Amino acid sequence: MAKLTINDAIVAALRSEMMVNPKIFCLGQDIGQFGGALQTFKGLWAEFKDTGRIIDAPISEEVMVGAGAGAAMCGMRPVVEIMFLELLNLCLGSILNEIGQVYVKTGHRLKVPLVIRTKCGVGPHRGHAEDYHAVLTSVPGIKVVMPSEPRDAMGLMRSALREDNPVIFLEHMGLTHARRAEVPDDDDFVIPLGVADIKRPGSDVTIVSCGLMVSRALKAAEQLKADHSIDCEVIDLRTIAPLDTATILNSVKKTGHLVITHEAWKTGGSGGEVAAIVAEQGFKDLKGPIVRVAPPNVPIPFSLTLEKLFIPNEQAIMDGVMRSLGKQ
Amino acid sequence: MTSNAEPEVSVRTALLRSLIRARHFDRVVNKINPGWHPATGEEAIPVGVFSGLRPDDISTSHYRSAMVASMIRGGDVKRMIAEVCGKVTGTNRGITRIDLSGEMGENHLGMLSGTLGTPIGYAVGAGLAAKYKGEGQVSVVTFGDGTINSGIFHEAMNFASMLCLPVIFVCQDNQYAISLPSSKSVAGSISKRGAGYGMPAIDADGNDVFDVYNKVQEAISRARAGQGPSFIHALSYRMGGHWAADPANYRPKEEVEEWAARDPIALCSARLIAEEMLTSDDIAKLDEEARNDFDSWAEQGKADPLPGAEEIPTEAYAPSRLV
Repeated sequence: MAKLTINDAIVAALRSEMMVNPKIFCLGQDIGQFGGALQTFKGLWAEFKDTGRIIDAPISEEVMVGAGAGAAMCGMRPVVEIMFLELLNLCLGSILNEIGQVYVKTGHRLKVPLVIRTKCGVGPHRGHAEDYHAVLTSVPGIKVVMPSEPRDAMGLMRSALREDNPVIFLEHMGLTHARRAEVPDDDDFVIPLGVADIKRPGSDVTIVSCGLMVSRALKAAEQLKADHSIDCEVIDLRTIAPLDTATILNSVKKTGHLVITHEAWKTGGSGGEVAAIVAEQGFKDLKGPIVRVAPPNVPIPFSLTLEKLFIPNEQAIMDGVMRSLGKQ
Repeated sequence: MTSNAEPEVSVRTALLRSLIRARHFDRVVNKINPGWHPATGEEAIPVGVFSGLRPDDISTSHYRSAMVASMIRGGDVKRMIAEVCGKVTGTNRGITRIDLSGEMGENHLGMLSGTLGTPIGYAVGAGLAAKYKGEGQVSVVTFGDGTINSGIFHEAMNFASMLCLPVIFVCQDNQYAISLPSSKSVAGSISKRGAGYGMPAIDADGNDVFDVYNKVQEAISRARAGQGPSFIHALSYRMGGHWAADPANYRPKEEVEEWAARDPIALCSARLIAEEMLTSDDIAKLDEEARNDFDSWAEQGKADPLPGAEEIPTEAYAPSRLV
């Protein structure tokens, strides 16, 4: 088992799938010789440049996504990289209005096996952090994935590349080059989309998290255990759309308490959907208020000091857990 | 500016037949829904552009004329009309607003919302897929004079040219974006926009179906030969309003009359009669046949059963497939 970063794991999955599936091609800005911003296509140029399957795109996000969808409808499996999630907002017309609806609106005659890779999240690069994932999860037909660790990243990317639906693959800039972890050597190792992972089992409070918030929730859980003997169950959504409601509801059934944390703004965030599902389908299991731990609905401040205060940290999650238990 | 080489007799007759059927298609559909967008007077563009493609070529149409484009590519007209009526017998069992796209499938793409310009992106992707497949397929797309002011038009032209893709871009210039005339909304010359992106830019008489057909065929030959994209500016005129019930009182009467005298069906008919390929009786027969077909399909569509609640999709996603 190799030890890889999230980025390396994603590239490894992409590489192995490109080797066996000639329908996969990649389209993105600076993904050729340059290797992609933050090296998201590291090493692939050297290997595939003669096949024409790595295309350096101009700054034309709308046609990159449109062409990706068109090629997908014509039987290809494009991987389009939109450098940052904030740039994906330039092409929401086709993504929100049409791409996720092709399968139903063509009477199942056409599919859109398109993977859109994009980066977001606070990290060492001090920019492009905004997490707009809630915009994407509010429309039908699009899958939204956000891995928190290398093994998941590899398995989820491989699934995305074999998927028959449009997938938006969010790569967190604070995680993608962070710690290495072991990943399976198996070129068929997949993690199905739409399946959450219980990263830490527990019996007292359920914490639903994704992306950067997973490691923070895990640290908060350890601290709560040590300080207060509160045993938290930490769920990593991995796929934000569609939500794995069964895993969430089963956990709440066990714990009776729910805290949801994400880096996206609280207002209209996907955490609201998790809360609504539990309120609708798991109300009888709840023993306390559902608590959301997410940034307020104001712009992300630039100063590192302020940014750190703005994005939920371990303390904020611990406070959220205490509120869910009626202890604060 | 009519091209010298003319299509064969059988093709020319087929083009006239399609023009006549396009008009009847619009007639019945816009009677069913007067809020929709007729292309009366512009039929020579979709007919000339999308006739004469190889079965495996990809057509992607502008919303105005989308069902006509689909009909020409083999879409099931009767079912499209039932879909217009929102009936369970329709193309997609009442799920899709079909006038914007026609029957989408392997060889025909279109618009699935009110967002102008999305089809141009899909057409570029179809061209990219065609290039990877390497079987000489081409991608042909139409869009209006309004859409050429949207960002995606410019992105797509640059992208297709940069990658030398087999895409034929056709501007269906009906001179109006709802109420705004292209003489006011388009800075500079429309066809020069094509030249600006390094591709052949050709003007066609959008009311002369043979001219449109010939120029598109020349562009297709270039694309099949690996010579990349072309841009065709086909000038016509929107005889009706933006939507069927729009009185369109924002434009001069003389302008409408001037273009009425250049009706594409009348022009094409006169040519074929003058060249003794068809008689006016033959043409009257084509018209009667089309009238009967479309009237009966519209009647059938109206009479067909409505969809039941079970037709509401329970799942937006295609099944996952992990092996």
